[in-house]
Amino acid sequence: MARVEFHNVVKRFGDVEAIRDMNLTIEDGEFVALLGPSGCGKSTSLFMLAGIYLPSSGELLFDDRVVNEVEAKDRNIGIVFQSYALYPHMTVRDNVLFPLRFKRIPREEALGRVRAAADLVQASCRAASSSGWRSRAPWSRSPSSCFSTSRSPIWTRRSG
Amino acid sequence: MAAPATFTGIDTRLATPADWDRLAARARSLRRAKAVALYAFLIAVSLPIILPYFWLLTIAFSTKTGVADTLVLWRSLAVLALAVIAFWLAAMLAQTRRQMWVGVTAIALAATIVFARLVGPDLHLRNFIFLVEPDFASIVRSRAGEVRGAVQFPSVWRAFGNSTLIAGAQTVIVLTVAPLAAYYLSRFQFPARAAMLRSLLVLHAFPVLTLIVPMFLMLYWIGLLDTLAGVILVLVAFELPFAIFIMKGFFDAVPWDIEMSALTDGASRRQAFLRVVLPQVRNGLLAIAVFTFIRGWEEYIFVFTFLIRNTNWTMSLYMYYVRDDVMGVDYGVVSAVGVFYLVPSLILYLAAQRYLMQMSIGGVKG
Repeated sequence: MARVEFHNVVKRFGDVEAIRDMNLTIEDGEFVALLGPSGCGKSTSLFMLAGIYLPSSGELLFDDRVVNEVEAKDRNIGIVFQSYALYPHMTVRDNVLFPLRFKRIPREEALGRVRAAADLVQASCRAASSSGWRSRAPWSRSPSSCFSTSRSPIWTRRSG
Repeated sequence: MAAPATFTGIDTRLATPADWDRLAARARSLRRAKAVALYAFLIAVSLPIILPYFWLLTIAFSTKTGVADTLVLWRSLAVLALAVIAFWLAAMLAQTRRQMWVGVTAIALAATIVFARLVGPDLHLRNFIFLVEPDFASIVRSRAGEVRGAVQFPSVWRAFGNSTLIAGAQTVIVLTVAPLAAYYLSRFQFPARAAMLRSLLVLHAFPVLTLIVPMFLMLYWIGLLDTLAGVILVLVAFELPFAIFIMKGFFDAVPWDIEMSALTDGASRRQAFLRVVLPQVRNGLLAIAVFTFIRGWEEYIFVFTFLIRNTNWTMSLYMYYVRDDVMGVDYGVVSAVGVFYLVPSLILYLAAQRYLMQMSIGGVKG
């Protein structure tokens, strides 16, 4: 796990200031929910945290290390999008396997983790991609990538 | 107390079963009349399109050197028309599936027999002589008693190969460049993005023929005149704007979330594009591939202008020179070349129809 810190973080999109001077510390193991009207910057903050957006200024720290420039793929963060963001051209198993492939985890072990993640959300990987599954697959995808990491997944329910 | 429901032309409270039957019969006959009118209209407008192709086929397979004869056309058309009407009647009169299949089979069998008796003796493959004999023009001319030297034709397979090469290379280049450009246009903000999008459309609306003289000079200066590579470059340049525009529509329909999700899952931008985004626009890729290939296959004006040596001829040039040389002597050979030229694009269209149907400027839905 890690402590996450926003230090005077600003995010601008052209002339629009989406986030003005954000300061926030999330302690190791803390459970935090961001609540606010749409357009207030919840998703923007999370996307900066995940490494999809680059902060316009300020610092983002994981355990006192500045991660502003660290690529999303190197941050070891799980995220569930409001639209689930499943890869429609893949089976459920491939969806869950997807992040593990980039970590170069041996196939056998990866499949084991897929099974474990599927058990966690109580669904079989053989199940067809029904609508029920559609809501479960991303959740199992996030932990499947995080089992190997020390950091807990960060989940966002609304990303509108 | 509700008012009597008279809008159906009947008072539902007083109606007898006979009244309902009368209403049903009226609706049925109206539906039938509409269907007949519709089919008659559709047949009338599609005949001018179907007839020439049908004629092309009959000429290619039946006409003999020096004879311009339409008997085979009328006979086979008569058989076909009767068969279609019979199929139609069978489909209408049949009460069960089984009856329909029996009727359809019987009609098909009868039509085949009549066709074989009436037209069969006139059918032959001699017009396809060009497939095996490069110097077919002299042979055809001597059949008609002409001895004057004919154009020296390259093997038709050479022209076939050239056409395939041009269309194939053009398709490969467009398939590589268009998705990349379209992805950038769809996803990134950069100066003059809107102007660039507009210019793509303007470029497509531009009559490319007006550029033929400058193109000729440019190819001459860079030494690509009379080479397939030069033609491929020109065709790619003209085909790209539209392909990019169509691909942009497809990329617009791919949600951002999927891409962001791939990034947090550990993919790089390039991996996210190749593994997650590109598979979603597969139908778009197939559509532009087919359209580009067929555009390259049917290209005539540019190859006619930029290719000179007869070893560089494409199928369209081959077709043109065959028409030029033996038209008036042998319509059969000209038509046979036409059929041979037509078949690949027809096969391609039929195979890809499913994907082409899904294409629109706005991309895919769902």
